[in-house]
Amino acid sequence: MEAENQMQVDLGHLLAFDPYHHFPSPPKSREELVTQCLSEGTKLVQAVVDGLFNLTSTEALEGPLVKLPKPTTRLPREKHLPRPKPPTKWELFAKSKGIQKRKKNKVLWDEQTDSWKRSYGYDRVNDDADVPIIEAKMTDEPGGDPFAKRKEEKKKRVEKTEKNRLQNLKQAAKIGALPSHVQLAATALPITGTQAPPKKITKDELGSVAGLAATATASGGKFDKKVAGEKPVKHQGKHRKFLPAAEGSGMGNREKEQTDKVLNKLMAKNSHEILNVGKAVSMYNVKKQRDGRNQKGRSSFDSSSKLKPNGKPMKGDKKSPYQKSRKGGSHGGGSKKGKAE
Amino acid sequence: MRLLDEAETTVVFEKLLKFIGNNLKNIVESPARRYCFRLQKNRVYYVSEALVKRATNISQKNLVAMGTCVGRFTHGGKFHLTVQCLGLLAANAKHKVWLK
Repeated sequence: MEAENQMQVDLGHLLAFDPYHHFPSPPKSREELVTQCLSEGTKLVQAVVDGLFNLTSTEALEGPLVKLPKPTTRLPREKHLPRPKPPTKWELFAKSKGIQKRKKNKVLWDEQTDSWKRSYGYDRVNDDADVPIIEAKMTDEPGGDPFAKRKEEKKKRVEKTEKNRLQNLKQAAKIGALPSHVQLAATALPITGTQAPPKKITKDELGSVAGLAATATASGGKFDKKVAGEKPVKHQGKHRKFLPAAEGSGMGNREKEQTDKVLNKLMAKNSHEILNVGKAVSMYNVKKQRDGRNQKGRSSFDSSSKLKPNGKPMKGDKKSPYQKSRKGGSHGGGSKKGKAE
Repeated sequence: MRLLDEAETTVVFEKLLKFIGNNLKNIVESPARRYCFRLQKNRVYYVSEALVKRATNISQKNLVAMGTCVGRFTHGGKFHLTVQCLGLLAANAKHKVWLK
C-alpha cells in the first residue's frame, strides 16, 4: 500500500514534505500533540539537512558553501493577475463613434524635399513650425503674430494631452490597474484632488539650493573641500535689485515713484523745521490783534468796530515785514535756526 | 551708472535738505528740464534726463562723469557733498546773506 514512505524534499525551497503522515489516533492533550509534531518535524528537518550535505560544497571564508538546486514545487502566485485597464477617454470616444484604429507608417514620402521623412519627431514631414509664410486671413487682427499664435496653440495642445494622460492614469489607479512601470516612476500621482504633478527641479534651482547649502557653514563654506566637478557659486553675496538706469526717456515712472516717496517722507519728518510763511504771517497777525484788543480795552475795540460795517477790525492794517513771496528764499524770516548747519 | 536705491536716496536728500530745506522739491521735480540723480562708481550726479539716456550708451568702464557731481558716498556709506554742487545749492538755499 505505501510503496514509498519517503519524504518529498525540495532543496530549492529548503522544503520537506511528508504526504503519508497521519495521526494514528487523535492526540489526547495539547502536550501530546506538541511532542508528536516536534518529533515529526525533526525527521523532516533531518531530511533537508541530509540533502544539503549531500550536495557538492565549495570552500569559503565562513565555511563550506553550497549552491541550492532549482526548486521543484510550484508556489502559488504572490500578486494578483494584472487587471484589465479601464478604457481611456479616447478609447471610449472612438468606440462610441465607431472609429477604427488605422496602421500608420513610420516614414512618409515628402513631396517638397523628395525624400522619405519621419511622420513624427525630428525632421518630420508636415512640421507646423517650418512654414515660412502664413497668409493672412480676413479674421486676423492687424498686429497679431501668427507664428507665435501657432506656437501657443501647440503648447496648449500638448498640455491638454498631458492632462488627459494623467486623468487616464488616475482612473486606472482607482481601479488598481495601474501599469507597473508607472507605479515605480518618480513622478508620483497625487493621491487626492486634481493637483498638477510635482514639477521637476531645474538645474538652476538645484544649483542655487546647492549653493545655499554649501554656504550654510560657520565660515560660509570657504574652507570646505569641494567635490570633483563642483563649480563655484554663481550669485555670491547679497543680490541687490536696482531700477533700470534709463526707463522710457530718461526718468521712468518707477524712479519717480521712488523719489516722490522718499521726498514726502523726508518733508513730513522735517516739517517742523521748514517754515510755512503764509501760516507764520497769519499766526503773527492773529496774535497782534489779540494783544491789541486786550491792551486798549473795551472802548477802543467798540469804536473801531462800529466804523466798519462788518464789525471786524481792518484787515491788512498792520503790514508785516515778513509778507514776501514764499519761493526765492526768505532771509531772516523768523527762522530760529540762523545758520545753515 | 545706476539708480540710487531707496536707502541711498534718503541719505542724499537728507543731506541736501539741511541746506536747501523746502526747495528740495524744486531740485527733484524741476518742471522745465527733468533732472535725476544717478550713481557712477560711488559718486552721485545730478543729470538731465536727455543726457542720462545718452549716457547709457557708454560702458561703465569708460564713463567718467556726467552732469554735475553733487557728492560721493564714502566707503562707510556716508554721503559727503562736493564743491561742484555749490551752484545748485546757491540757487535754492534756505538762508542767504548778501555782502556788499
